Amino acid sequence: MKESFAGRGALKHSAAVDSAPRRKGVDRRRHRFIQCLLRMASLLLAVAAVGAAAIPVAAAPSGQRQPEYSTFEQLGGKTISMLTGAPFEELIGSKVPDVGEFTYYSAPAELLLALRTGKTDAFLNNSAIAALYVNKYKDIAQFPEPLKEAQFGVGFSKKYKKLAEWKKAFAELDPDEIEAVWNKWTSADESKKLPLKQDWAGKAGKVRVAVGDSMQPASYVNAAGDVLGMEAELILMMAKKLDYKVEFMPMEFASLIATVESGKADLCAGSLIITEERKKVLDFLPYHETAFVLVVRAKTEQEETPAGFWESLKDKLRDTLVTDGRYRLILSGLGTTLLISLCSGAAGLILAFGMASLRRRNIRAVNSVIAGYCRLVAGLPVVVILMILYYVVFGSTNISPALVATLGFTLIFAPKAYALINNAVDAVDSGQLEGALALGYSRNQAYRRVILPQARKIYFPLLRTQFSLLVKETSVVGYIAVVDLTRAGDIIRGHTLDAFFPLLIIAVVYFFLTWLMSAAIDAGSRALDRLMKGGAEQ
Amino acid sequence: MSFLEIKRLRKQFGDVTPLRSVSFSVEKGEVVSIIGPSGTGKSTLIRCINRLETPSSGQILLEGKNICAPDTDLTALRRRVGMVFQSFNLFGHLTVLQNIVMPQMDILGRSAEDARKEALRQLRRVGLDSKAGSRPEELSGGQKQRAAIARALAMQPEIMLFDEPTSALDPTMVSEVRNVIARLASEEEMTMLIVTHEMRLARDVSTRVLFLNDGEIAEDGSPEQIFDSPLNESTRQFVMRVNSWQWVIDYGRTDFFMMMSSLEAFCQSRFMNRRLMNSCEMVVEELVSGHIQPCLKDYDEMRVEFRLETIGDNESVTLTAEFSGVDLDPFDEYALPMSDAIVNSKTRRIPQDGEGIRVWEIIV
Amino acid sequence: MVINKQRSGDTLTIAPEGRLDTVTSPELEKAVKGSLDGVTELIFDLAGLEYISSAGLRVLLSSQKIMNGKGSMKVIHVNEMIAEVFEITGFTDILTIE
Repeated sequence: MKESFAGRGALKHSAAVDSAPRRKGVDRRRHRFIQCLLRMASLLLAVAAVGAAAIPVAAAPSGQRQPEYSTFEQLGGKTISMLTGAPFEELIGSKVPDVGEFTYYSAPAELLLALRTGKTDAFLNNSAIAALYVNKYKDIAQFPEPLKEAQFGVGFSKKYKKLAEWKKAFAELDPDEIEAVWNKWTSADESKKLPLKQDWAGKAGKVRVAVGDSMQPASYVNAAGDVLGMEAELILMMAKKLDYKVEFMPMEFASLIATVESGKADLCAGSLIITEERKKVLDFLPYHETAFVLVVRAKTEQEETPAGFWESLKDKLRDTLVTDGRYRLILSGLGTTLLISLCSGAAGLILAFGMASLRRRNIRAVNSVIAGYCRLVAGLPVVVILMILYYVVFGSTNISPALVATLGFTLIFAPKAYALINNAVDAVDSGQLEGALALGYSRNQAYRRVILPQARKIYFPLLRTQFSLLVKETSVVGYIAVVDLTRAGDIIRGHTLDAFFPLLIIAVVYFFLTWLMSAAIDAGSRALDRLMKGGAEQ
Repeated sequence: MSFLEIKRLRKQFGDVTPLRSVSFSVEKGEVVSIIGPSGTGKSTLIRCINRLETPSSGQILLEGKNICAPDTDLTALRRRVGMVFQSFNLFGHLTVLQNIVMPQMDILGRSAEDARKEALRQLRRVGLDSKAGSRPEELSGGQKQRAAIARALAMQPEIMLFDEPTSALDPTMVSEVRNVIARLASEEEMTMLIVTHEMRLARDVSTRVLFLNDGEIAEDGSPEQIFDSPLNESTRQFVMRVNSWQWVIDYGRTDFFMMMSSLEAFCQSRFMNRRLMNSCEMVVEELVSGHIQPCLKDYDEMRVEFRLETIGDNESVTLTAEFSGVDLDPFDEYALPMSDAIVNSKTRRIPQDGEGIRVWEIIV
Repeated sequence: MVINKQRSGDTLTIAPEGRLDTVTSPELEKAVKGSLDGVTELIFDLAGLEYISSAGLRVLLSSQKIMNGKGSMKVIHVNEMIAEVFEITGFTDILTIE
């Protein structure tokens, strides 16, 4: 990695030392850069070591497991967690006398991590997920008493009129077949969990199904983007009977219901348990019994021998990147992040320049519209803007979420760039404009030839910083069902059940991404400079 | 038909009317200086000529055509009228050469080669050809202004406007710019209008001087008339005030340092040579330290007002002291020997009728 | 005002630079008075002086008076203007000028 970055690093380094001419001390700079890289690598290694050590890989066989808490009274005053969007506070509150605090996480893997690292004392989930986790990790155990019996269901939009059809198709399924599906997906045998194919004609039409992208074992996505899981398989079995083609839309658990409510999907599935609350907004087709259970930490009799440091490091890296070709997910997520960032950055910049030149015309009405728009964007969080665009503005349109994300970030980036450009233009001495006008330049020409080039020196470094921020801000597009770099990390996390390593890898990729983009922008700007100087040169 | 005619020009900004009714004409080749008290609209006047300001009413006729008409082609006008600013306004992101080449190519459509040749020619003319590759920030004030003049000249204007060209310059650099402007005036048949505080510039370079006061042209005449024998009283007062140094000394006001600094600044602005300046300073210093200050110890009500005036091109320098609050002559009764000797050797007393006033001519 | 002092043995050379007038003379006076320990020859080098007034003359005079009791004093590198002032005020008789 060092060698390939050395060239670009030298570029970046000289960009960081803005006014120093590149002719001098390039060798010294390259040497300093390699030192810097070495230092960073050792820092990363140290962090990784802490990470690897923090979560011991359970290698020893289990002794008898003792749950840390075995009665509801013992849970009084403790922290209990659940998935964001899961409405179970009342249920828990009815059993546990005095809950200390409820906390929420966006994926089961995070609940698991929080429990094992002591951030929470218990988490609530369904029995399928609980079984999967408890089988894998010896330092947790299922709380002896289930909270409530329940049913898993596939959610149907109330506007979708074909519920009866599907219910009939489900009734026609062989119960043994259903049970076999359940067993296949909850077992530890990964080799049987293959991608599902749709090899029927689909003459009856298409149905859009929103599915959780990391809700093992119910519905999730592999590195190649194929949808897996018992719910996915059951839905396909019914679709085959009805001759529907299924368009799966993988997304975060928290977005499932909203997506169906807004009409972007007809069905949703993702380990959804049927509740009265949920029945108010969705119709359900129950497909299996389950229960709400709590998972707590466990004390084992036998001492665990943590695997060797290098062993666990290698294991984790392999698990995160190599198994199942997961690195491909990261690469495709990276591509999406890059695409959205570049497109919205460019479009936002064009919009900003447009607004800046409109401002110069001093038309009151136009200026107040622009000011209102900027204030609006500044007052709303990025995630809220994206969700409003996706679920409300484009709610009924069948538009790609990545496009909505690009549009959203264009609208978010433009005001920032606009403010920077304006400040820079204002900072250029007014005498420059007069000097140009007195020579016979028109106002527009004067701006183009005299003011803007000087303004550019001022706004350019600031814009470069804003662009780095933009790249990082795009990490929330997972909320509107776009698989970017961050979401790719989430998905992998769901597979490996280890939050730390995927996050670490994603962080490293973001770091280098923003660094390289800054360097590329600098290089591009210098090339542009030379081009423009050519116009004024002898 | 005159080349440039200003007819009843008026400019009002809210409550302020810097130009009430200004009328005059300029023939081709004339070099006209415009002087007057600060803030009276001199700059506004010439900025109307290239429409950087638009007059409230009145006409400006360039070769018979009114350029204040709303449909005037401003860029075409400004190609014919060159302007040099007090703050130079060189383009900071370009070298000196590029500053002069770019407008020629953009506005006049000249080829890169022709523009470059012309630029170098103008730079040579103002003595800056060695600085063609430098950036404006690397130049001194005088060099920047000369570069700005070269830039304006490269456009081959028919009229050159100078808006306080030396006001932002260190006194040491004023002469280099003054020389360039003077050469321009004599070599070319260039019509020039110069707004300036620099009396010497106005005197040396112009064929005509306008005194702008209270929004109107109070007097219009040759430099000799305006500076040496003005017809108008307000002109006379202005010229005199600009030509003299005044200072009051009494019990409360005896700041030596400030007085000497102010005197030195005045002498420099009058371009006195070193000897003359030393004489003026010595005389004033000795009169104050050797005569006035000892007297003030005994007569704390005394008040002395000094006035140093130069006539012509420093041909004669007169120091006047008007004193009050004391019933004797401090310069006779209180005279420390050394101070007295110095003063006597450097001045010639000009006898006065009446009391309370003393006049000396400074001799070198 | 910049006052350069150079001591070699019992000789002290003082070279004031710039203007010696009512404002700056006290500085010179202080500099002289504080450095006369064991000095038998005091030299004023006036090469860098561009202006002198009666206040400056007084400092030279008081220095001369002090050195009359202790040794000798002389003034060197006097330019035309300063020479003129010395002559007008009769200092050419009081000071040793070279």
